[in-house]
Amino acid sequence: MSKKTVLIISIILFSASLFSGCWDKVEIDQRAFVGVIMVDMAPPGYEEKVEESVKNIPGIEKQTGKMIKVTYEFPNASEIAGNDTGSGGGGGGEEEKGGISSVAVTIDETNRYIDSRLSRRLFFGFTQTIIFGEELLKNPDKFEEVLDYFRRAPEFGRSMRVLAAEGEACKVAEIKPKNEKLLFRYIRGILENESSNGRISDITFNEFITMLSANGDSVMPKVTVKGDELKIAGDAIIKDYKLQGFLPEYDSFYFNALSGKRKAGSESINTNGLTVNYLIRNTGRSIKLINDDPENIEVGINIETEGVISSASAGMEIYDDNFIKKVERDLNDVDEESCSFVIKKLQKDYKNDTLLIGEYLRKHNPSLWNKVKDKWNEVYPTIKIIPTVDNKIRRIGTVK
Amino acid sequence: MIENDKITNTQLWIFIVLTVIGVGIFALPRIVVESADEDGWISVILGGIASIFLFLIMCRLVRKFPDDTIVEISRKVFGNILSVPVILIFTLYMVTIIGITLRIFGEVVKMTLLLRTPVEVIMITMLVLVIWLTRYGIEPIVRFDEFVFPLIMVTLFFVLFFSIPRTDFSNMLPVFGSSAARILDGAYKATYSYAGFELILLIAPQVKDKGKMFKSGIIAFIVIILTYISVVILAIGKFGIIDTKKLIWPTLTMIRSIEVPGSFIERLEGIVMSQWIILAFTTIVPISYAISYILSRIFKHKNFKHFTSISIPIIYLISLIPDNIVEAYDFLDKITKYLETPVILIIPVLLLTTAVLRKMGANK
Repeated sequence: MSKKTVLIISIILFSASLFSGCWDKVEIDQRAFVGVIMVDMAPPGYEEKVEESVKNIPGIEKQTGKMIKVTYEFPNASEIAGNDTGSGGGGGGEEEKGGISSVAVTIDETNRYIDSRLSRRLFFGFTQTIIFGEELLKNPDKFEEVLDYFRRAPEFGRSMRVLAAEGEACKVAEIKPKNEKLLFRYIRGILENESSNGRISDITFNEFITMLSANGDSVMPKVTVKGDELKIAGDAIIKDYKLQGFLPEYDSFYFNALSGKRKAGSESINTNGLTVNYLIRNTGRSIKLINDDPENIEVGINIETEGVISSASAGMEIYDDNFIKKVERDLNDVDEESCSFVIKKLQKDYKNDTLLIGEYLRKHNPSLWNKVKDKWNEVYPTIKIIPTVDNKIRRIGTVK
Repeated sequence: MIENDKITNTQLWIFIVLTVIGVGIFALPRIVVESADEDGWISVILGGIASIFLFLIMCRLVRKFPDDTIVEISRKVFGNILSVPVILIFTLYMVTIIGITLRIFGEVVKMTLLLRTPVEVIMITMLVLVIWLTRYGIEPIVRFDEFVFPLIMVTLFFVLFFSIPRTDFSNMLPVFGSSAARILDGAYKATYSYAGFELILLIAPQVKDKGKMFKSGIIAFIVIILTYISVVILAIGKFGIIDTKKLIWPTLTMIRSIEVPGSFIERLEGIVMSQWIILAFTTIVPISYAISYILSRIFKHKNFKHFTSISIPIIYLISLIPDNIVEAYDFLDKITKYLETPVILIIPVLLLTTAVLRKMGANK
């Protein structure tokens, strides 16, 4: 009996030492929950300075590459809890504004450098947003490398959002959001609001990566710092890991309708010299192949919307079916014109197939696709894309 | 001692489902898409149907010899000398497949949950638990399966359901875009994911109602095929074929990209992975039991328990053979090619035809 007791106790002790998981033990207050990561190219002149300082180390030329500046934004746990940080907490209060940044060749290296400057350990499990600087996006090799890190690292989820910053991405960390203590929530909130305005492509990291690897063309929302505010509107057009340009928000509105990513939005129209505002509640899109001659491909994109009239100039009689039909027609014409403009821009200026016409052909007309896929880059700008818009005003609000 | 060596038919199909679904489910979408592109899901179905036929052959065989395991059957049919390679291949297959399964289990857990814990510790901890359950015998194993089955199925359903948003099912098109040869190749490669049902060759004497054995198998295969198809379709829909090919474990990445709308909870993977550990456990335990049991039959020893502790260090050493994850999957490919094909196809077919020709065993 006593022998058995000893055995049981030793088993418990043994398993306690085995199962305690002491390798991975990190207390929650020792973690820095990174909410937003901003990636830029290293500031000009920085690389030369580093090169100068490490010149005499043998083998160093094999270890260098283009450098990036990574900025991490994480909330100060004590600040969220509402306690004023009287005791300082390792200068956490200062790092709160502007995030904390480091420059190195790869992101993993910057992670290590930051870890050596912080009392806490960076934790990426809840990272929600990654912002890429304009310069980085113009460096396809480096951008591909950075993306590979986010894809490969097991800590990151794939439902993160990606944004392209106009100018430097790290400027985003410097703003102080209104009504919101946490920058990542601020960004997420804007993204949610804005995607119901239809002026950004509501796209996750996963969708971005999938599009990019499937056909080399992709989009992501654009973010601009304006004083103490962020403006997230418009889209960045990317081809083969390289930024081609930004679509302004007006163009994005129609681009998102064409790509099927727009759900809602609002637009106004001048009818009989007076303004009517049309609030879109629902948008649907379908693609159709009109002409399947490989020399002469014609594709139709059909957009259908449903919505309400939210306001109109005073004195207008809206309670009239003929008038509503006329507004619908006028809206259709204007929308089609704008859509054609955006299509032309993508097709002729950027030669960018983010509307996924190639994907559509591959999926629905494999025989045609097999004929054109090898020279798709040349064929794409020459095909005819015809947008048709069908707006349906369902409701007019509470007054006639 | 309680009498613990009979299992019912319900227990049998739960046992087959949980044994078959294991670590293979994580890599399955990549494996079939690599071979058959968008038609990967057809490969999954074909692989499943082929497995059902193989299962039917095994059922026929074991019903001819109701009280024998593969060891005695091959001794009776092939004779003492010729049966040696058969038994050897069978044992070798079991030992290597469990070793590599354990290794992949360790790698996945290390990558997702315990980033800093040495993989050896993860595997040894698992093995300790495996010894513990294996030593109790087949009936406690199936009772454990019965107990965790609802839990795992609920989680599985939950995962699949919440993976549906932001999935583009048009990625499945064009159907039959790849050639028949590639679909068949995918089906062949998918068989590793169906491996596990061959344990019927060992546990058949313990099944209560041998007449309904095949029926139980059919139920099990329906559950498995449906699970696999959903996983493959969702992975293709979420990642497209090009990205699915690039991901080592598409299913795992799919779990990680789940976003429950409007909830504060992110990172469901912790919850899901803890369920998956049970799933891996229910795959490793039966094979470990099979190894001990087959060894006890080979040496005509009454108690299989003594062989559990002996086989575990060997399994552990085998799991450490591959240097990295790429080698581990290459190793797995070799096992599938050179050991699994004989075990699930050649040996049962040879045994059955020889038994029929020699007019051996009981007739229905």
